[in-house]
Amino acid sequence: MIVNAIQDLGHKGLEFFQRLGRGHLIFIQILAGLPGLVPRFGLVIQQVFSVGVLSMVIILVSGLFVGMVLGLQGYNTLVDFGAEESLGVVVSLSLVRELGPVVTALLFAGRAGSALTAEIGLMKATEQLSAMEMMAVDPVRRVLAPRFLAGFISMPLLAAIFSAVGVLGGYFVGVGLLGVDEGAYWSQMQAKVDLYDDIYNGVIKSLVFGVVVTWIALFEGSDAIPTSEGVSRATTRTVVHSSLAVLSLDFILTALMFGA
Amino acid sequence: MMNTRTVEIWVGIFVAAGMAALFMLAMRVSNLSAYNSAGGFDVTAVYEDASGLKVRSPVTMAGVTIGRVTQIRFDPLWDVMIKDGKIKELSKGKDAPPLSDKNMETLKRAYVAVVTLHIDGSYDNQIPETSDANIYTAGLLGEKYIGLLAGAVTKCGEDAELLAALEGEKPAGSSKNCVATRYLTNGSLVRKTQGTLVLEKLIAQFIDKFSNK
Repeated sequence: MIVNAIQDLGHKGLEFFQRLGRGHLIFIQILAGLPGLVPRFGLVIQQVFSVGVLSMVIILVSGLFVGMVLGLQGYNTLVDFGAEESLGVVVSLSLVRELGPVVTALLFAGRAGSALTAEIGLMKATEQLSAMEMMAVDPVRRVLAPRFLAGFISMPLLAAIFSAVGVLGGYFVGVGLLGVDEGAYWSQMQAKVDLYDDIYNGVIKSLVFGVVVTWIALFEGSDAIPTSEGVSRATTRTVVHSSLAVLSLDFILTALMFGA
Repeated sequence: MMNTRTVEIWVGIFVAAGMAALFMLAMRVSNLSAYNSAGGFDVTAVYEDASGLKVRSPVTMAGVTIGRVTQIRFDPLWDVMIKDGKIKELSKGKDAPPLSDKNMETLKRAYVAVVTLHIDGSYDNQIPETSDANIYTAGLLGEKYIGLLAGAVTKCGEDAELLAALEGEKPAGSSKNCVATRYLTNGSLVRKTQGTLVLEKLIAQFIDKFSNK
């Protein structure tokens, strides 16, 4: 009985490390396949469309509403101290440093990551990937690498759109609705937000999240058990794992960038 | 699947929108347009107390930001002469010749904070070296910043001789006792400074004053 439990534990441990190893192997294969995309950039553009352009609506709408909520909440707190002129700083710093990259990455995992996993999982289940290999086409280079590069390109652009729309949303609520001085909103923001400390670090965050979310999605898809149940489980795992990875990495990156 | 042309147009719009958003964040939200770090000169100022001052704190003159603090460090090797609680003259180095204490009340080795100010290049050789660089507080609870107050362009009297002697210069101008001040440029030292006013120290002085009566 006890021996069985220990064996079970060992089995799970080995399985975990095997998955970890397969994940890294696939990551290295994808990176090795990236230079081959230069002559066939059309493949990447197709994927930027399905990963980036189709995610734009959800990013625009959530960015606007997150910015508007930040404007309302920030105003209510700041007005007690007579500091409602700092609303622009509150809205822009929270968006550029944290909410822009993180919320975009979470939405990206839900919207694009799950779609990538389901697509690749189904390709595997319907043996399209095996068929490619039969035709001497490397599925990693033909299928995974363009999707990876598309995620890497799309994520920082989506995060920048999210932050910019959020700043505008905070402006509509703060200046339009609540009567914060327009000049103070922009000038305080420009005085306090630093290009390198804040915006540059936010872009680095979104690049890291883009790599991690796309990597997890592609790995889960290509590692899925090729049944309908297996694909559904892999899709769930993609969203759960990439959300957890984004949130924990965000803590580590924030500690590194903005000091412990 | 949509045809390739439509897909490519949409991707183009997406990339352009992303770039525009990044550009807006850089130009409209951040301080890129206001402050250009390239081109400029470094000036040193020495404070008895620089608490609250931070790297990247603004340096202002007449209320306009003309530079930033780029470095704050502790340096035990400055000799400082203090008159009426204000730093008057100083020299650097353990073996530096002692300053003459003409007109001065105390000569002591003070342990000071050495602050480097990076000032915009367009003000090079424009601000007199005799200017004050004081640490002020923006508002009641705001952040600390350095305010420059313009000093005299020529300096007369015994201070002038001391200044000239210190800098190895001969008194200039018509009067023997007058010396033309130089202007702040790369590597200059601001001699007249007033550090942070710490509330506890002020209260202690206040209590002292009354308890002595």
